Amino acid sequence: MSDHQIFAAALLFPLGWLALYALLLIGQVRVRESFPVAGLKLVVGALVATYGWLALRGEALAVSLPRWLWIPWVYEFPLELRFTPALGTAALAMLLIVAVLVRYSETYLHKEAGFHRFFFLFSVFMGAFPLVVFADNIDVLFIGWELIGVTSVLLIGFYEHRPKAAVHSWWAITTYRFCDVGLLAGAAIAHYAAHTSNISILNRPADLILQHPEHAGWVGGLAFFIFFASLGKAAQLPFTSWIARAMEGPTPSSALYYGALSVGLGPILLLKFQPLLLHFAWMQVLIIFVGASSALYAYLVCKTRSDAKGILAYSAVFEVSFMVMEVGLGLYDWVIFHFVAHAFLRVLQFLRSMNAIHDFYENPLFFRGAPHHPSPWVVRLLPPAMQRRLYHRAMNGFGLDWFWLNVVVRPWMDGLSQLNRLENWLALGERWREHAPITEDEA
Amino acid sequence: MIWGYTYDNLEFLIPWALLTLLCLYLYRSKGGKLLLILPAGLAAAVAVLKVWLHTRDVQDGVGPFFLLTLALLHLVIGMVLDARATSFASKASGLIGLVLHGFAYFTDNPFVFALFWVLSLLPMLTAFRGGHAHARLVFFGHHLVALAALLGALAVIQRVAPGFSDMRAVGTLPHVAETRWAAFLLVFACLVRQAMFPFHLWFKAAYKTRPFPLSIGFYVGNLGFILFIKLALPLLTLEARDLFPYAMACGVLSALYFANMALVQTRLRSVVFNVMLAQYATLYCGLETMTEFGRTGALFQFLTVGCCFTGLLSCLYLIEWEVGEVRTGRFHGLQAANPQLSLVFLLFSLAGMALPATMGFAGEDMIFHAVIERHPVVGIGLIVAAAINGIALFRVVCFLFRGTRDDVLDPTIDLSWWQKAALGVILAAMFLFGLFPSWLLQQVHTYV
Repeated sequence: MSDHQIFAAALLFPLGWLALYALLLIGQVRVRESFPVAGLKLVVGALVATYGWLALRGEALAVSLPRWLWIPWVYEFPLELRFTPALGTAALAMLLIVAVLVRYSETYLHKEAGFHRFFFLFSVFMGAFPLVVFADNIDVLFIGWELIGVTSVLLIGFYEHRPKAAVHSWWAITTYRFCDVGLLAGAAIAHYAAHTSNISILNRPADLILQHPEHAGWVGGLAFFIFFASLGKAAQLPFTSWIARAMEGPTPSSALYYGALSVGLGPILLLKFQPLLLHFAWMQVLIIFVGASSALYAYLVCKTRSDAKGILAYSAVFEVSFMVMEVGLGLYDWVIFHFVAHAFLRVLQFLRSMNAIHDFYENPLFFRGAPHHPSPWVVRLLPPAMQRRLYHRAMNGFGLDWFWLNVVVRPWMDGLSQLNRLENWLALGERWREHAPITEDEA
Repeated sequence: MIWGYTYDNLEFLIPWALLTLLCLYLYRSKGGKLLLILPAGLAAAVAVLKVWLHTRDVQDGVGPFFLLTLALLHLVIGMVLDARATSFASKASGLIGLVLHGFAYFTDNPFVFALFWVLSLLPMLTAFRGGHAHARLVFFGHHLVALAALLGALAVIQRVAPGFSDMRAVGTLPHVAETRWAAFLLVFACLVRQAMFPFHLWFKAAYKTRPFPLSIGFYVGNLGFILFIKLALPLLTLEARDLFPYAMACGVLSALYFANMALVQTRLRSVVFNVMLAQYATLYCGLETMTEFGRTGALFQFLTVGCCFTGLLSCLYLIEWEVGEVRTGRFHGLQAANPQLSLVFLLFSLAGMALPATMGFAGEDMIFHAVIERHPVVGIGLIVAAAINGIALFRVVCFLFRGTRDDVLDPTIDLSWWQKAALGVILAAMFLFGLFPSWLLQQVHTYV
């Protein structure tokens, strides 16, 4: 069996497991709690062995899977994937984190009503993550990207009886879908401007512009859309505020998605397109600027949060913002190292977060006494009144939610509501109630 | 050929119509919900066979696809609603409407098509509730305009080519200025019939004032869409290629408009209907790309949208039957008592969002690529519309199934074996052909 075949087969392990698990659940077979745990451990073990073996071989592999969506001579959707030792190492780290989280969740969600739902979504994540990491084609990347987004949103709304969970998951899906437009538009522009969606080819922008000089402007557009797509998952400005809301889900999913892997997919996406992005100086400046401003924002907001998961979420954004800056500075290996190191630290912190109060008072390893959070020295240079104002602004997230709700969403929705009323009046002859004066009886 | 029908098709259509009438008569006299399902089931089976057996030699055109979608819709509505759907008149209207649409799908004679275009409106007369004179006026006003445009176009075609009676021979029409006018009128008729922006008010008037399975059945009848494929599109290609960008602009504008309007609806059924309209508008853009894969994607997506919204609306109707009209005012928390229904609705919604591994993904992907190769800006507009559709559908899921359940107001909705089977088969098809789309795509492509 060649390395190519081994790599291709490894992608099918999680999918095979997912199919089996789905069939059992649909068939309403009584499945023990230990079953998905064992199944996921098996899949993780198989993947660790495969990626470990391939990473040790130290060779890059390109695989094109059989024609999945194909009409002869008319249309083809190639499933192209590329394994590199660096990405393989990142995937190995991811698998170790998943293994830890599977074990943790087994106890954490024991006898919980949504136990199997959680593990099913976890399995979907397992199937989708390698598609994003190893995709050598924007279309394939989009499949994994979208599946991770949907599982993330469903896990935010995991506790279905809580209306807040629904609202927050809706907030998250709105951000995701809005930013996913970038990835889908990028894929479509790649087809239009370069007649390919292969990432390796798109990462040679100079050649592309030479081959298709009439579409030179679109190559810049492609770079911008890819960058835009990364903003949502990476919770960069101006799409940062959803991450605090995403903490509504169970802690293991918060750790996996917003502490470690999903939030890190933004920089991974940028990393995959680094040559394309850095070909344009304006894009490099934009990436560094967004990364730096998001880091500053996350740092200041984090300092004012009083909940453990909120602090960790903004800390994660802070680190991810640095990864984004590193991509902008052209530091390829640093980003991967940073991604892996950050994922391990943050998962540990998330999983310990529920014991924070206990640790604070009981654990001798932790600092005891009155909490002391000194302001950063830069802030201390400011006059006290300004320091207070900055604190209040940071506590309100610098009005980011207010901006989205009152400047973007509400005026837009108000306009649409007016249109809807006009439609109702025209189609049904309904009275324009909101504008009619209130009569005494109605009052 | 008789009246534009092949003998093969007449051999199916006439017995089917008689069987439908017989079933309705027996149902009226003896009852039995199976009788309501049988005609739609037969139509679906024949359509599947026609698609499967490649009956291109009998020149079916795209008829089987339309029949399949509409028959599936009726079949699922019949099975899922478990014969609960209002009065006998409404049930009879639905089934007779299906037969009339079926006759329209298979004819190649434009005048016979126009006849069934009018006849298919008649069952709707029975369904308007009292007190909605305004809605009735809007409904029939729009359809009169559409009919006038269709007849006007046919009159112009007769003027330039006396005796023209075969839609397949549209390529033989003389190249004169009048043909361009005919194309314009036909596109106009299609847009009105298909409720594209800004001619969509009749649809709103319809689904808000009548039993909505009937409305959806009528809409998914898609006579506007089939007229577009059979006559308007070839005529546009022949005489008025310069009108394509405008027609495509109309499609993308509709998609964006309906997707946005879905966000502000307070009735959940209105949200779903608006998303459905946005999806159908996307299909127009796919057809107008004039590429093989764009058209294939549009037809494939046509099946997908039909199946997906059949499922969504059936579930919604079932819920509204038990709970009353559901609005966005509160979270209904139906998940706790109805986990299966919740899962089914969620899966249909994900398919409606074109999630990878569902049928919607393949069709939408092809349409987007085809459109963007022609007009990148229009393509990005469609992508934005698709994104908003996803948000709107997820909002419906949240309002229906999330939150705390009110035990007094929200009863458990038990799904019978029939209902589970109907919804399960459609879901299985959506995921099976989503995971392995090539075979079905290749079948669809043979009809392009």
